[in-house]
Amino acid sequence: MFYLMIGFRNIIKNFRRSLITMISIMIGMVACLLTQGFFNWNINELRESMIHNGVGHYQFYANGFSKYGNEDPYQYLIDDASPIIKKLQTIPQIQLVTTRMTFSGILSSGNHSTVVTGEAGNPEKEKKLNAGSHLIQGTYLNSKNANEIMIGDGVARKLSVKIGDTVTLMGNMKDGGINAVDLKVTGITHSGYSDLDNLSVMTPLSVIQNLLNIGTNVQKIVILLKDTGDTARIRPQITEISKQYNLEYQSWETLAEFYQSLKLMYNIVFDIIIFIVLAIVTFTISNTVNMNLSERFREIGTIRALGTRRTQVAWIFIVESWLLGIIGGMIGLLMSYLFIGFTECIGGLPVKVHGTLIHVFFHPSFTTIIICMILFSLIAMTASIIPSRRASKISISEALRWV
Amino acid sequence: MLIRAENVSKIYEMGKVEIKALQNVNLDIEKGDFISLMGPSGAGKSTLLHIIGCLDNPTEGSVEIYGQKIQNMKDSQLSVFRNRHIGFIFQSFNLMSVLNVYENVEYPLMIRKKKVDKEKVFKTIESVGLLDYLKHRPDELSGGQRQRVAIARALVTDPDIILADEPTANLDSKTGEKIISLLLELNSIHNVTFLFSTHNDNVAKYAKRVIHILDGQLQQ
Repeated sequence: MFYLMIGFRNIIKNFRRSLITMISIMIGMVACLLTQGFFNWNINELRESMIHNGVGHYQFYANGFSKYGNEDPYQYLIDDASPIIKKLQTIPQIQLVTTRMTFSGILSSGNHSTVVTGEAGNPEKEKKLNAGSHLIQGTYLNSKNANEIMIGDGVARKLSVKIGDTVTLMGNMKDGGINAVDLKVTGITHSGYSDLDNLSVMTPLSVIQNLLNIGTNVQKIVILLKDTGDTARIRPQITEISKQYNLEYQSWETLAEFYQSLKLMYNIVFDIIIFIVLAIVTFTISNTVNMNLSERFREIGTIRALGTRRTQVAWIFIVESWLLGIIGGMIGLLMSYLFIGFTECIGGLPVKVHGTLIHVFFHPSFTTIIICMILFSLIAMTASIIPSRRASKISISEALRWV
Repeated sequence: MLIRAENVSKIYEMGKVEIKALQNVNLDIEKGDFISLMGPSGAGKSTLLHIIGCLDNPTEGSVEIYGQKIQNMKDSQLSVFRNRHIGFIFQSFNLMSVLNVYENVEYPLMIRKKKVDKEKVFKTIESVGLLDYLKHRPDELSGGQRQRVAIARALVTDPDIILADEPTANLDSKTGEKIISLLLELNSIHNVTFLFSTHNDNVAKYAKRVIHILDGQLQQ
């Protein structure tokens, strides 16, 4: 308390210098929080976008699918998904359960043909999952039994088809034969990835089940949760169900590989930024303490003469720096949240990226706020250790003669 | 014997030049003494006070306080020793500008890491006549009042000796005499030992014993 009181009063006494130091700490704090806030918002947007664009939170497959499914997909289908779906629907955190088949085949418009890969599912549920990228023309698949197809804009270009045209989808049946079905184009989609848009299609599940002659079998069961935060919470129940029905499962964390690598990259970038910011703050504080020290030579001599020990002298300066770190950090936190609040009020900071206007938000994580506060106060203390030790070792006699 | 300085010499090395600040100084101080150390600027007054006050070590010779050789003590022990046994009054008062009168006087007790006897602090401030200025900061006080605060700060720990380095040099003659009178009163009533340096004859005349120093040597 004693050190705090002296530290606080010295900060006020040397207000201008303290202010400059606090501003540098504040700028550092704002830079760190807004950078991490932007990364966090961006990565969370990407995560939710991936989850809601078809990946879901969990996917169940027949046991062995992930190892051997690519070589022999028809051997690893889920025979009867109904009891599993019923069981999953009893878990309150689950918003939606749907079944799906991934397939590949040849799509032909009569004059042109192209290889396609696609997903087949329940249109109503897939619409909620927002699977099938963004619809840029036409409508979503209408019903689960209709002979309809949605195609990527690249596929539409290759086949020279438009909404309402009929295309023929050919695929290999389970027993090895070739089957074909005529489908009406209801919608054209665009994902932003041209490679994907040149291949991707989507149909109702029943269409593919009939085409491939697999009855009511499905390849996977996709689960969407009400809140991504519940992913870990319901994992024990998911594990139990997978064991009960001899299934295997993967969560979005393992399915969204791009998300994981981007998150890692953002973390590395943020670590580099925080390192640079902390280095600058360290030098600023160290410089302030040094200036402070040279002005308080006589005071140090006096308090040493009165019996203040070296460690106590060092603590006076260290606590003063720590207070600068805390106050500067708090102001930085406040300024960051004022800016964050402003961006929330205006519906995001408008930024034009390649001609597209996007609205950027800043959502720093609570952990980052705590870590930044601790780091900035610790670095303020650390930066003052060497000058403070120097202060404590000043010759008392020389310090008292200092003019 | 309260303090015994034997053959104390202090040599400062300024590059290749040696400055003999003190040469073979021998001095005994008894409990209750009121001694004036007189000499012109650069005579070695402050150096002798610093060595007796455990703020500096002699180059040669020894200083004993109550039979304890201060050269043998570690820095942390010296800090505790100074805090318990020695009070200091400085020419420029040397008060902490961020602390008020009460806090400045309380400071030597605060650093002891024990509960401060607030009554003792109040009584000491009362003894120098500043009870009405408890909340005042040093820059709100006159020179004489600041030196009174410094005296109270030196007194509050009940030291065996108070060393005052030119305590009246920054004060006008009238205020200076009042300060010396106060020190004399404290010496008479509380038997506090004082050793103060001065180059002013009017101040030195109050001392019970006057020691002259010139070129680092005592001229008794």
